[in-house]
Amino acid sequence: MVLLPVSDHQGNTTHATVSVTLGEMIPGPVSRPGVDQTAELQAWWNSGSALWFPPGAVYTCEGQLNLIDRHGVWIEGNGAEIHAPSLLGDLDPSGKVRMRRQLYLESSSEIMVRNLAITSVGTGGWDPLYEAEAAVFVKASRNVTFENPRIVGPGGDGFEVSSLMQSGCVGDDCGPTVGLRVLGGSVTNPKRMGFSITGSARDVLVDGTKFWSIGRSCFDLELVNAALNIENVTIQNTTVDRFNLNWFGGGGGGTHDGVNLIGNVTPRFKMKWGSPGAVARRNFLMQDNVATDPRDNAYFSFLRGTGLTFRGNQADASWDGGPSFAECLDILEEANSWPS
Amino acid sequence: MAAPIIDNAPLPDVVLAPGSFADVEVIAHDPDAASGQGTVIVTDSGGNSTPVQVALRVDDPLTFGDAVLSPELEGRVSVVRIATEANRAVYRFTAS
Repeated sequence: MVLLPVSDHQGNTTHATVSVTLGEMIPGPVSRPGVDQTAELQAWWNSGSALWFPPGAVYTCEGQLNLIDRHGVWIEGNGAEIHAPSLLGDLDPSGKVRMRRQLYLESSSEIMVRNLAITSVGTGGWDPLYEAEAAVFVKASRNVTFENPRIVGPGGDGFEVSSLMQSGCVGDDCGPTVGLRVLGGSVTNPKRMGFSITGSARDVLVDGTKFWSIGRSCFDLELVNAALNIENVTIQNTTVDRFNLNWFGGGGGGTHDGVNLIGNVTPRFKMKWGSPGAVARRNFLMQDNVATDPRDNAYFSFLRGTGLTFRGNQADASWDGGPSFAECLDILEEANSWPS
Repeated sequence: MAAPIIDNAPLPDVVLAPGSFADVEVIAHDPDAASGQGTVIVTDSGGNSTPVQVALRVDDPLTFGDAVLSPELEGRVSVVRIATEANRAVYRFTAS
């Protein structure tokens, strides 16, 4: 029990009381360099709900670590690393896409993962063979937080958020992912996206994360069928150094309602929101973002969106073709430092 | 005189794993604080007077003190106040 005294200036005091419980953490196994410890780590993860990595440990994991139907799990990484030395995950039934996700969450809730590195050997640009091999895949889960993650070199995305039976297919919708937060940390060298949403999701926050050398788009909200929805997604205070397709992509199908880009730094505002196949695009806020590359600073294309606000953004160098607001309604532009 | 009242009691329980922290917000008010209106007469040089209503407030600022840990938590939990406003404070609990 902890007492928190609150007094007025006459000396009258009340105590707020807080009950504090110290959890017992289950320490992880000793790392054995070069030995595949996927099964060993999975058994440890299945053994309890407060998991404590040895500081600085490096585990070789060729396989996929799962948190499926788990609730109330705390994983303290202590800077430990889960490393996949290849991109050789199992092929999907089509034989065209490898499907290993290094960390796979499904139908879980109240999950915290802190200070954990998830690394592989992906470099360069997009390769469809490996595009499903996200470092972290979150499906149909609630209240999941990644604090200070370090992601390096996945064959697919740094983070992929989905609600579908299988990423990229038009399968059964398992329900949205709600309350996902990525706080701080970094994503480096994903062969596809930095952070993507391909299935239904609500209340998603990416805050303060650094994205380096992104193979395709840095942020890609591309729903794979018309029945899916994205609601209240905020990307803020991130830094991006390089991407090969878009800074922000919002094509694909389905409905977006509430997308907020606030206080981010990027080389250029290369963006796309809406597509001929989209059901609806509503409420887009882009505020206080800065584009830093003076050579190629902006191009954005918005199609059939409503409720677009652009405020306080800076891209005061050259433009490359944008902006385009085809068939958009209710557009507010104010205090931006860019050509109109 | 009445003591302050905690507005958001009961506070949430805190469960801490080693190395983790949790923030707890305390919101309180003092029931002795009061506000109302008074009237001030304003007179110009010609002797014309006008009553003007002004808001009056009897303030009783709160002080949020240091946390007092029970003996079993001493040395294992630290608490610092990371934000303080007129009627609100946030305490950060960290497990060592």
